[in-house]
Amino acid sequence: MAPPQATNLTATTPLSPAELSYLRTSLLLSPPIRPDARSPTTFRPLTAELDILPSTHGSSRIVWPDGGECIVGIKAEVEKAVVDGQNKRVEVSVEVAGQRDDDPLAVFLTQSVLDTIAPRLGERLNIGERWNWKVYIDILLLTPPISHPSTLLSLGVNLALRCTKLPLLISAAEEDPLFSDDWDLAKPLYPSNTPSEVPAISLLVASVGENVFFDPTREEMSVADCVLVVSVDYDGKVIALRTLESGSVGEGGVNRKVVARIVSQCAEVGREVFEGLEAIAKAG
Amino acid sequence: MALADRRRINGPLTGTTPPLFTSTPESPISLKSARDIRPVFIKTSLTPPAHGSAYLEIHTSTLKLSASVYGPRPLPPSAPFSPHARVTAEVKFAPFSTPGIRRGYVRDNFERDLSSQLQIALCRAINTAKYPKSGVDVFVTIIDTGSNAREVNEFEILTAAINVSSVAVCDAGVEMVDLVSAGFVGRDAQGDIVCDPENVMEKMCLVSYMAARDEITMVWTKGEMEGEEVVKMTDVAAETAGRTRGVVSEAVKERVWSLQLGGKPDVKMSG
Repeated sequence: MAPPQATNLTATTPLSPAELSYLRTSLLLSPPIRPDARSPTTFRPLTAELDILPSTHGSSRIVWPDGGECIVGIKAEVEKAVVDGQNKRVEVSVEVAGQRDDDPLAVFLTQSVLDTIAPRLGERLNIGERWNWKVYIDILLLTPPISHPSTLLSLGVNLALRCTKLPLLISAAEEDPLFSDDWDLAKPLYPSNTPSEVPAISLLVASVGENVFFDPTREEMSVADCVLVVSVDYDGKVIALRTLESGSVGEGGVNRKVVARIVSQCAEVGREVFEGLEAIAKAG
Repeated sequence: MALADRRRINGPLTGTTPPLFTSTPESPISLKSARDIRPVFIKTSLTPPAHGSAYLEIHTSTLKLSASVYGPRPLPPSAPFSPHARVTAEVKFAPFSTPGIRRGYVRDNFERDLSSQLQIALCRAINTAKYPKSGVDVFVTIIDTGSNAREVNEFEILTAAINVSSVAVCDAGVEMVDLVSAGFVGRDAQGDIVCDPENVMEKMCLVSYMAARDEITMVWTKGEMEGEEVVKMTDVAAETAGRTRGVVSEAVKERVWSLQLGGKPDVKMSG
């Protein structure tokens, strides 16, 4: 039996054991010192563009300073409603440039995006009584990621969904749907006057000792005790929580208190991120 | 009489009442109390060619899993240098494991997802620094997913997979910092936490836990929850995992005893 393929997340960092140890020690300090002098809750600056693809219903492009770049395109189709089909109304596909499509990273990202947004998005996609929208979210990661792209993707999807518009329904609820062909009348999927209903986002959090770091780089992840992906909504509710592989430096897991601290910090940091996204969406 | 319609089967003249069936419950009614966990049976060394193996069953469910561990073995020469052991895990459903439709043999995304989670849960428990340039490969086969549930309960399967592979890794003689055991809880419609639920619930939480060190290696939650709710569920799940730990330890101990007494592994099925 051939050994299973190693995930690309297990790929070691270019740092030597001595450098890793130095990094870990500086992150263990109180207050911790991160290599790029960020505070534990600061995110790296990002560049975002909205509505860049004319042939989609909504799209976004988002770039990290380390070169991570992702493009999200959203397309919608009308389909006949089926009973209990709410969870099947959203389809996500993630393509990581230069990697096979059964790569564990792509599988994880697809599942993570779906878990984060699908339950609530499904409810918004009704058309009348017998029809509903089916939304395809296609994500392209243009550069092989240097740091874990989970946050990047979720912010990109959030922005793309915010600028998604669906044609205006002009038929009655019980009829077969008929839409207005005036694109200017199209209705936004997430109206801008209800900021608290926006789709949830995933935050990447790493813990080293007692310290908790948001948006860790690959080097920080490789010395962390535990890396969690926490999906939070605008109200600070946790939608999903998953563990990611952390580096192989050191053994053992994390204390329950650290998990509790991560969860409690996510609500407030999440709120700040949502405010940032709001500003981006307003600036268009 | 000759005019009577004999080509059709006519209904009775008096009319009938339509049969009325009591509605079947959505999911089978659980007989166990909310705090109980179902008894677990684990037996080690049932796959002779593997370096270590274990088999797990859960009482009242037909869930059956077997895990085999190959390693520590050298990485292929083409693999890059690694100062730590490379732990890989693979979860595979047998084609006949699910009730109803046969499961395809090609690995799907669900299996890949479970595999990577299993790998994360085990990786931090293995003393990887002891085995440079080697690999530890864990293969879990789900022989039966437990047919009393209508949908496959991914939390139940992953919990069992973590427990069985923890024993199998230990059986292979790979050094670990502590045995891992996993437990999962759900929150029912009344808002009560149910340990080891038999049915799929909207809010669930799985924790893989090292009881002797009081450390968590993996958390996985599903469903919309407040922050405190997540913390509470993680705590109860860790406690549930702590209770399964007894079975995991016992399976390992049994193996050590049989080695000491008989000098060779006892592969007879008992219990």
